Amino acid sequence: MTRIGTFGLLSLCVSLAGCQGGGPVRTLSEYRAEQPEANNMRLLGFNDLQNRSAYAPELHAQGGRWIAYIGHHGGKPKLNPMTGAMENNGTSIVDVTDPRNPKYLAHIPGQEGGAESGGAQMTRLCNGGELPSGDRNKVYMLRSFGTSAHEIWDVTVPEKPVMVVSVVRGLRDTHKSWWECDTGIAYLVSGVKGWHTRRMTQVFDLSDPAKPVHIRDFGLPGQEPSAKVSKEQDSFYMLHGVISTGAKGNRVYLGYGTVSNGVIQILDREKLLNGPKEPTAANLLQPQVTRIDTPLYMGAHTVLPVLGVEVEGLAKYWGPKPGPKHRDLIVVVNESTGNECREARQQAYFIDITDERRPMGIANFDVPETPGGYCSRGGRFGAHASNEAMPPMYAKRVVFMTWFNAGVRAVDIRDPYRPKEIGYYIPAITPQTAERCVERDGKQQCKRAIQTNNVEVDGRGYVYVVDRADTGMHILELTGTARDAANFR
Amino acid sequence: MTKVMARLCMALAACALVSAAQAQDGLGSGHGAESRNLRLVGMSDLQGRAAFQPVILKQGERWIAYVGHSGGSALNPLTGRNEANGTSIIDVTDPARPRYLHHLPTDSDAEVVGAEGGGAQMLQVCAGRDLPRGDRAKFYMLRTEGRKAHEMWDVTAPERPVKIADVVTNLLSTHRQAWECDTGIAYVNSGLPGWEVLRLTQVWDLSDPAKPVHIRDFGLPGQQPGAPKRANRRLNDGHGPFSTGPAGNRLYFGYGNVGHGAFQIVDRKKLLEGPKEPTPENLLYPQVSFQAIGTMQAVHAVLPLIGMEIPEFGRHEKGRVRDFLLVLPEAIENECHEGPQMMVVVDITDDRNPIGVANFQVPNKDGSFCTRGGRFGPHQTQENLTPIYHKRIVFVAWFNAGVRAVDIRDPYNPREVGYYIPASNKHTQPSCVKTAQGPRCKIAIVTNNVEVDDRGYIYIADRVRSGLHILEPTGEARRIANFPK
Repeated sequence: MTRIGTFGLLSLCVSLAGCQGGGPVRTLSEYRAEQPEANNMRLLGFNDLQNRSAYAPELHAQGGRWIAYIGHHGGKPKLNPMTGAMENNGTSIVDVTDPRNPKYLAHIPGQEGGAESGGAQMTRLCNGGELPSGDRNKVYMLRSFGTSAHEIWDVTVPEKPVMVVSVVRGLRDTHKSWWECDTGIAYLVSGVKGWHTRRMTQVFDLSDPAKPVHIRDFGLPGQEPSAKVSKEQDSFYMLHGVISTGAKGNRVYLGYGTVSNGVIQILDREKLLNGPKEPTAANLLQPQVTRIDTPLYMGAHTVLPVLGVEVEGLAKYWGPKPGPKHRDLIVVVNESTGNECREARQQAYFIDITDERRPMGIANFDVPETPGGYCSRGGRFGAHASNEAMPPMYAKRVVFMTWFNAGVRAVDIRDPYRPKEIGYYIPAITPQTAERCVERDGKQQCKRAIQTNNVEVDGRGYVYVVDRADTGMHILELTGTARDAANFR
Repeated sequence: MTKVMARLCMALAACALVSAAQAQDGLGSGHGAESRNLRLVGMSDLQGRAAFQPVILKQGERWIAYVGHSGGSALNPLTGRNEANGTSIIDVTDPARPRYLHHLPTDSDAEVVGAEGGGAQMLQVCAGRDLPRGDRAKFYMLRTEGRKAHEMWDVTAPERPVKIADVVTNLLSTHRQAWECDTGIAYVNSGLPGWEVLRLTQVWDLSDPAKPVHIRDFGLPGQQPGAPKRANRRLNDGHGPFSTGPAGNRLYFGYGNVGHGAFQIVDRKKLLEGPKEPTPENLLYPQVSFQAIGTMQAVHAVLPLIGMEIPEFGRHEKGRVRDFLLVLPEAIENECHEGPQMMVVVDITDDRNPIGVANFQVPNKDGSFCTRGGRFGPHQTQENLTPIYHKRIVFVAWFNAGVRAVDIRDPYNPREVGYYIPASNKHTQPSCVKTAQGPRCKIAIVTNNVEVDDRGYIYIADRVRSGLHILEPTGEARRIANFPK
């Protein structure tokens, strides 16, 4: 009798999950790109972002509204129906106050050029009231402009962004910058001519966004202009992204490389800002706390610090001795760059930095290729990025990671030694989703598949994923047991 | 009906075992056995001597287990004499009825339980037919003699070992040994006067066991004689290497004492043929990589798993085959008076840049292992690479949690498939922690080392005198293993 009851409950759960588009992973033969797949995550709203290839969303609360700022990759000019003009991909600005009814407000065109050379991939937002010397009534957006520049925009009225100033121009490349709103210090991913790398760090004081002050240029020893290196080495160790824990944490975490030549670097922020700035090898080494060189087939796209995790059971240790009752970690997310698995597997690694001078990899997170058959679905399959905002309901509890054609994955990190998937969402493609091709027997073979590129969360706990293959932005929330891992109380 | 009864009995038995173990708060009368997918086949009490390392091989038609002991002494009933702990030699041809053949004592007088100063903790055995210049008819045992020496014995007749040579004497310390039977090269842990570390590695050519030839001494830069004095000479103690021989051309060394665990990957050819004078440059020359392992203790043991096909990566164009190193920091303190120690799986496919990718821990959420008494944590794995288990199941000696069988076929997700915690017995010595009121002691098993033989039997030796337990896998663990059909 009891047994029957249990089975009854089980089947009920399965059918409920089915109602939400959930259930077991679909095998390749069951897979339909036009249908979403989900487990413990639910779609609330959608915006097609004018079908522009999207890199990263940023969420910002301003004037009683929640606004999403989405940086786009380059590409052919597309129609902006609001202006009737063909515009180069730039920045989409969307009102997501009601996540079920996102309203597209404005598109700021970006630089002309292809996927990685044009557009305006990255944005960061700060309120003027928080910046030491900003206009208290204003909201500022820092964005990259193609490969050539970083710009400050006044987005106080997000429908009508106004350009304030170019922070720096004439660059070889840009990428995922970081801006501390409380100090105004920005770590720009820039390619400064003369340096032996296409992407490195420029530190600027943007405490008064209208008057950028250059602090220093920074890279790995051997990348400085005076170094003697081969032409080939110029492509080594490209900086991908920066995350700072600000004046209080006094650490800056940098990830270099995508699928190869990776370096993870932890810097002493105070030394970076106030140490000797002349780019000599010795000065570049001075703020370094730790450098981890990754294996040949691994890069470091995102280095996310997760500090002070109180691991269950740790309190049983140490006895009368003093010892850390918490763990500090970095979550290192690689980037898949090859379509249909024409590369080594790219996944996420958890590195214990409790003793940050003796970092130790202790766990990994991966999405199984089988039975979903992701290598055959088209486009990239593998890790790319994690959320970087850490609102209290997710901090030290849940990390979201984008996995290209495997959508977004929700990972329970409360025991960082055993990261565990608790939910996922793979959006459906639309007729506007772009094709992704591989060459097979001398012929181009193309497929349309979702390419979830980046994820970010807002202070309400909504999850925003954007698509590299032009599909748009999906707004999600955790459901079911996954919601219990977060702290919504 | 019969089936139901049987199940009920099994469940009850399991309950009885668990409660016996849980009753162990405070110094009780001991605890029962606990197991999953590992079954006890036979047992030898090893004359109640504290045991460190078992090594098992086939000699003629017999299977012989050699067990290295830690310091102490006990009555040898075969001679009627009290003998300082040395080497137990046991016929395990019938694993259900092990026959104690001989105790080969040491002249050490260290009496402290588990003391590393006495006994003959470490040993290696090679067949003369495998050694380049050995006597084809003979078997040779290399063993430590207390902290003082490494010795060579003729164990062709295991009942009557005959000493052949002192490899090296007048040492300050000894520890792990690795002896390549096909080349005769041995890497032994020694303490040498003048070095700024207690334990370093000596490389010897023992291809002719009767005529040891010293090749070089090896440690980390900064440990060499003449280096600046260090406040803690044991900070980066060597724990000895695992060698993959001329074919693999790699040596994997563990380092550390209390804290400061690290591992090092060394180019074997460069070590053997490179410049030998112990200068910092020469010590660095054969190094491929060196990596600290965070907050954990000494790396006592490592086990390479080279050339593992990862089924999950089967559809990827690159990186389908990976190399791994299992890194085992050693739990050192009783009752978890230290941070958690765990086995770490390190990807060494690009061995200049190793990266840890997974860990294995025995779950201790309820803390019961931390309060049972003795050490809780990893120490060592089997070192025999029999195809029955290699790259499939790794057995890890986990001190008071016995031996754990870990499915390692997917190295990114190691998974426990079985365990065996022996029952304590009349020989089991209490393990103590200091408290304000003086020492507090508990009786618990402290499984020190594990080894497997080529038949697939598993041997675990107890650090606190509980003896040698011979096990075999059952159920899922047996299905994962690769026993001949």
